[in-house]
Amino acid sequence: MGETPLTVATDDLERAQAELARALGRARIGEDRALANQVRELGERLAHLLAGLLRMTRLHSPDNNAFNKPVEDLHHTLVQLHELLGSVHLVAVEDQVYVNDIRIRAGDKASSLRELSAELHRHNVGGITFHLPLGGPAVRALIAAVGGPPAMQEPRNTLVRALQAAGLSGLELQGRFRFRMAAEGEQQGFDPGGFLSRALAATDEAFQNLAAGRVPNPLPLRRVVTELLERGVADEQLWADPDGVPPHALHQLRVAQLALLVGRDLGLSSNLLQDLGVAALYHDCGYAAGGAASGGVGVAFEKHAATGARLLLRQRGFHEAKMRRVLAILQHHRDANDGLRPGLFGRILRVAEDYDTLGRRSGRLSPTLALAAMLKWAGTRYDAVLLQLLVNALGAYPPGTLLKLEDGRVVRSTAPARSPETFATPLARCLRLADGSPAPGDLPLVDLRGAGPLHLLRALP
Amino acid sequence: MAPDEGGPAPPAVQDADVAPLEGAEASPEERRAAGSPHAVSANAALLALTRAARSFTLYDPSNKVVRTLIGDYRDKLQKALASFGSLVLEVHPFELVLGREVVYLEKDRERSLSFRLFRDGVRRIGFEPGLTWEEMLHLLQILSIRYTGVRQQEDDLVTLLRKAAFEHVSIAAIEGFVPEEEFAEPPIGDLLRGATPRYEAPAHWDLPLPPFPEAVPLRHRAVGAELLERLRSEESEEAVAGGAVRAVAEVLHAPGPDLEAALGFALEVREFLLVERRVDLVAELGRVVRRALQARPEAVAAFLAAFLDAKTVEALVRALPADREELPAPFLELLDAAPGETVGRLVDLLAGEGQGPRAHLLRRLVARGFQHAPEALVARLREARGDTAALLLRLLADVNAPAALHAAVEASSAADPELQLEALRQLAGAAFTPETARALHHLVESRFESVRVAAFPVMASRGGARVFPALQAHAEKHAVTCSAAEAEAVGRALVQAQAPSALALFGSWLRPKSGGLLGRLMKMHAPPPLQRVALAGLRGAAGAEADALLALLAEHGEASVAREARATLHGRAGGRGGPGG
Repeated sequence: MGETPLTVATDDLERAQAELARALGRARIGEDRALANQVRELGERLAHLLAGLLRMTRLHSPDNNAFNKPVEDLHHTLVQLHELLGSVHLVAVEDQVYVNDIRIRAGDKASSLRELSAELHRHNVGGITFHLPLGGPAVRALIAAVGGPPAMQEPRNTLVRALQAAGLSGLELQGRFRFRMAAEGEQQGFDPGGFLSRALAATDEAFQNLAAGRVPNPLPLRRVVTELLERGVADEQLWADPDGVPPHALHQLRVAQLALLVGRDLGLSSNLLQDLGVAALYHDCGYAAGGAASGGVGVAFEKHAATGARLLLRQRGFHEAKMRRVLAILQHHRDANDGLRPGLFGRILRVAEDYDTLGRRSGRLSPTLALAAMLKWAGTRYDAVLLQLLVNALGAYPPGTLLKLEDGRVVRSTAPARSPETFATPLARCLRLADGSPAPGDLPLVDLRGAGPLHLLRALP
Repeated sequence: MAPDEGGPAPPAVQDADVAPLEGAEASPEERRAAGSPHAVSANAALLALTRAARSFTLYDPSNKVVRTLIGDYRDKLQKALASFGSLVLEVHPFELVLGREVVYLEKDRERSLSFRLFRDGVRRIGFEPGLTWEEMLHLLQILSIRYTGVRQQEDDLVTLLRKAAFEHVSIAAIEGFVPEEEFAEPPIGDLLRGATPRYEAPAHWDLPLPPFPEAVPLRHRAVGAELLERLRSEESEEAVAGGAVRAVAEVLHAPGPDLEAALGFALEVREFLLVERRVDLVAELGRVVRRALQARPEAVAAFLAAFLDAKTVEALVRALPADREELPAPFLELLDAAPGETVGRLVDLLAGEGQGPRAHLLRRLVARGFQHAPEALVARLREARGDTAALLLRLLADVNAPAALHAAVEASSAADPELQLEALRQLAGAAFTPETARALHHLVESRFESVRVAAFPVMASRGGARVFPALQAHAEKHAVTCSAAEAEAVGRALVQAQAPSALALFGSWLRPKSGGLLGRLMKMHAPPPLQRVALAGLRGAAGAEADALLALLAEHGEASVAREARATLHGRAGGRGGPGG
């Protein structure tokens, strides 16, 4: 191979230098260094204290006075972390330890962290979530149990029962983890159920933390959005309505999915799609201001946009993503033709939110009729182009629409439209066979192309 | 592995901002790698990338060394891709591996590129031919941010890499944890979770919706590219700054605003606008906040005190063209509302500007700023020294003449020659009162000769005969020790104050007092310094007595005085058309 001619244009380099300086300047003003350092230091302290306590069980019984000081320190560390973060997630995966996704630096205590991992892994435990700070006796009980010998069968479940018998609560033990690589989903098959569960948990936790008066932490939500964008939004399970999930979290996630459909078809960059998704996951966070941290007084609809913006302003440091979502949240109920025209993100969220509320939450209309009813307000309440993009993306029979086929089968649309050509013939899951009996759950999806006329149903017969 | 001999030579030191490259150089460990040509080339490219990314921790971003390192990174990486095609590296804690060859090794966590990548979850990174300059720059930007240790709440390395949407850079990164299926146990429920406090949103949040009485059939309609582009442009990079200002406005006007949070946000937006050099919007931002808080002047004052810090004021001024006569309205509004400290910052800029191109502009701004607070200018004047003090006194005269006169009287006893000279300038135009007379007296008694020399004629012209005794006393007391210039100045002043008295005085100095032998022997009574005083005064006096005294000096004065006296007489004779003419 020959060498490429190497010319260095001074103008290019000067421009590059100026852009880099600007990027660094932007990054610096987005920092909340005090908070970041505090979280890191407390997380490290937690991990090392836990490792130290477990090591001490080799020499002493946990009710020995030697445990007094470190137990108290661990309790105080948990209290401080809880105030900052809410639930504290300690995860030992492969040779690393993380506290709330922050990797614990080993430094000269690398062996301590390896021991912690080993102690947990003996019991088939990969992580501990502290939903509440454990008091001194609970810490001792935890140390005693984890420091003890593992059961031969189902060691983690056995440990859980032992801790329950000891009266512990406010924590969870997780199984072993491995790192998830970004490209895995394509190679090994994406687990949409697992993703949905993680996404809902992250969204709910974000809401609970705001309700408890904590500083917003958008990074976990950004990771949810990043993964959603990576996988695509078409999978059936992403549009199913799982049982037993917090309804507010499901709504936030659903609005994010819908907003990203519109944003994707609008051709927004990856950068903006991420920001849009995070804004959507926070869009109704204003209702969290009715939590105990705000005196327990519920937030009215008229005020939730403004209170949501205020809650998000607790996050210090300037970042354009923060600015975009503050603006979007303030504007997300404003009409598109309002004299104070809402920005692009606000208009997208309005379309997404009203569709989910009308077509799913309220139960008033089927998804198809919800879209059709909204179309009447194109250009007034709703940005006409953005609404059409949503219509194009969802199709004539958006996910969740119940349909009766000519042969008598009842199906439910499972995913957004695959293409303009299949706009009115989505994939669907059979719920009732032609004879009216419930369909087996493992039937393949029905491609409604060639299925003949479709009849819209309001409910399952 | 050979050291990186192809790296850039340290630039010749031409500017003060160029610093030595030590610290940016590769360590011996970093240089070590396997030996195939591809590995050598990869090592060179990676070292260049590391040096460029680390340079921001060592140098100011505008330093020329940084530019050199960026260029080197581009050259080396392009060369590696052009010569050998794809470069796919496995990321280990302290090594980057190409195939089976270690092409980068550094165990110092502060220096190590591989450690930074590994720590942030990257396990593989690949570069493809066709890699654009923009992509290279973007990658460098991301790594530089991580190298400088900036920890943002919004992004980590993986989300930044995803945002970049590289086409010719592939990343395999950890994006979280998943259960390890090998060790799964049957679920037993959340036995330990307990009743942790939760808050649920109101059951009917966002309900009821407005009515939707009608519907429109759903149809797929393609949306034109132009329409899409128009919508996208609303969130373009260029729109961010304006959006930020708008966000502040909306937050402030939202019902029940949390003022502290809103104003904190406004200050954050200001930081962003300064980084982006959108100084025009900084002034607009200040205006937005002021208008929103019209009913709360104390809040406005507190905000402006924080908003208009030294850095912001300097940025606002530097954004104005130096020769611009008409200043932008938002900027002027801000200045007019600004607290006293702001004008003080303008004064600092003015002092630093000296005679620079923005001096005139800054004087205008300071004068305008002090119009609303002349007492602040007086206070600042009392703290100032030298040229700045003189400048402030001059500005005060533009703003408030009585205050300036009073300040000039105060300044007449300052131990500051520039200030005293400016005070003198102001007193020269003022009415002669006991106050100004005392001030002028201070000035002629100043310990700075330049001030005394300048003060004599002013004192004489303002005070006339009333100040003659003081001038006489000064001459007789100090003539022996003062310089020739001062002697001449006081001589001229004596004549200016009252010519007849001056001639009589000169006569008493120059003519011998006694008529006896001593009187006949001493031809000149006055010592040379007084002779000089007299000479200077006589040059400005007309008449026979002046001529006679000049003749006396010409005949009997000290040599240089006599010479000058003769020259003066000769000049006068020539002017009258010759002796007796």
